[in-house]
Amino acid sequence: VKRALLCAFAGAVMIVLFCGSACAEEGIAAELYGEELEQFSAVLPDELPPELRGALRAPDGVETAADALDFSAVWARIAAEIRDAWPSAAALMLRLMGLLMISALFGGCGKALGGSSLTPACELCSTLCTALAAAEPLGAMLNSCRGYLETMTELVNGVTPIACALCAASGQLNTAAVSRAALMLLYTLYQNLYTVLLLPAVRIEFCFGIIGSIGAGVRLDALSRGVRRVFTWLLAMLGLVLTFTIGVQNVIAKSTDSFTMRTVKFALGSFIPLVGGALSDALGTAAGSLSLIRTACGAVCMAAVLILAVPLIVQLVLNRTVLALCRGAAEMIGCEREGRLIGEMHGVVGTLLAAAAMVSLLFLLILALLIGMRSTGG
Amino acid sequence: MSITGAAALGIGAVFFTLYLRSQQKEIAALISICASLILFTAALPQFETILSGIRELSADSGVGETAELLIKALGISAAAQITADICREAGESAVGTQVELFARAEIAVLSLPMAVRLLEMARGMLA
Repeated sequence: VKRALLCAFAGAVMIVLFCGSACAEEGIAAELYGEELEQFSAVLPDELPPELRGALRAPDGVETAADALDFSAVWARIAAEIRDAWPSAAALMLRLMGLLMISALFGGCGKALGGSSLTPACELCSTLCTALAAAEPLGAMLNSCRGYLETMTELVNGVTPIACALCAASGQLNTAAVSRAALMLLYTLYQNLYTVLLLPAVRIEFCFGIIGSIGAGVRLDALSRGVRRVFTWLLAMLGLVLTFTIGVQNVIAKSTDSFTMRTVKFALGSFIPLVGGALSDALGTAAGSLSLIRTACGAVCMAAVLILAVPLIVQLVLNRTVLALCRGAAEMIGCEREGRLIGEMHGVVGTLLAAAAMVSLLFLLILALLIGMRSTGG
Repeated sequence: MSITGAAALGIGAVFFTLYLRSQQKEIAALISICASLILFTAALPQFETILSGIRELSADSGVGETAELLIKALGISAAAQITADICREAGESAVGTQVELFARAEIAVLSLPMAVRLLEMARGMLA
């Protein structure tokens, strides 16, 4: 009975994996995982080059995806994004610098008039002007961050079925289960990150910044700094715990799958007469072929993250640099309140940058762990 | 009017004011007020040059509207300060304080649209 059961199991495994192997080798894996691939392709950004979009179905998909992640290609993209984002950052700098110059002139004239009772009113007027100019681009940056998080959520949602299907098809059932759990965890994190962490932190910092700069004698910058520290610490801890847990789970699942795969290969090789050895080798080939598709999928995902993240990160870095420069200029020309306000906005952009960087890095790390790994059976 | 003329007018006005203060207080005060107004009027073309420079600078920086607002606030502040000083010089410090209060209120009204926009921005973020 045992032998019969073993033979039946081996036969079932053979049928499933041989089909997978043949399909993968002939480049028609898309037909097997057509629905998942379609769902995955639908969430890829429009900016993704067509050859990269079609890399999943092409035999040399991994090379195509690897070319997109080439160092020079990445730098070319960053340079192009800087070229695109620079005019708006320069406009912001010009506006802020102009306002600071006028504020300084205004402050000088106010002091020259010698009216101590009118000076606070004039300073308030000047600070409000600067606050408006510094806060206006913040809304756009926050919207960009929200858009990025939404796209990343869709990407994780799209990549989950294909990653799990490929893992399961190559005989890594435990890894498939871990992949699903990890990607669902990431999906939940991305879904809630904006509303639970990012938005409250930005709101608090923004309000503290405005109140601190408008209210004479009110210093709330220490509180804003505290909020920023807590936020970045939370992000770092979240990333660390998530990566560590998924890493450990992945290693365990990989070991279990490896053991199972070796057992199945041994069983095939030992108990099936004549063709057992060939079947055992075919099993390894099948897993290897599916691993190739999985690697291509991972590389396309990485390229997609790069394409999505670079514009946002470049925009945030440029604006942050501009705000840092303007804060320095404000302190130099004696506009202390304006400088403090610009400093607060600089901190808010830093918070957005930390969130965007963490989201991208976490996805890349988990992708590298789950999809980028080599097949255990090969 | 050059600075020499302005200086001469100022010193002359002070001289006459000091001379007349002990005998005819009203005339002394009138002379002081007239001298202040003449000097202020004479300084206006200089201000015009400065303001056109600021306008040019602000238009290049894209903050024309804001600069206009600040210039208005500066004008209000200057006018109120001169008036308050004249009032105090004439011994009417209460009137001077009221003028300053009026100016502060006017500057606050001027700043109100900006404050509202800023608050709307904050409210938009808090919503």
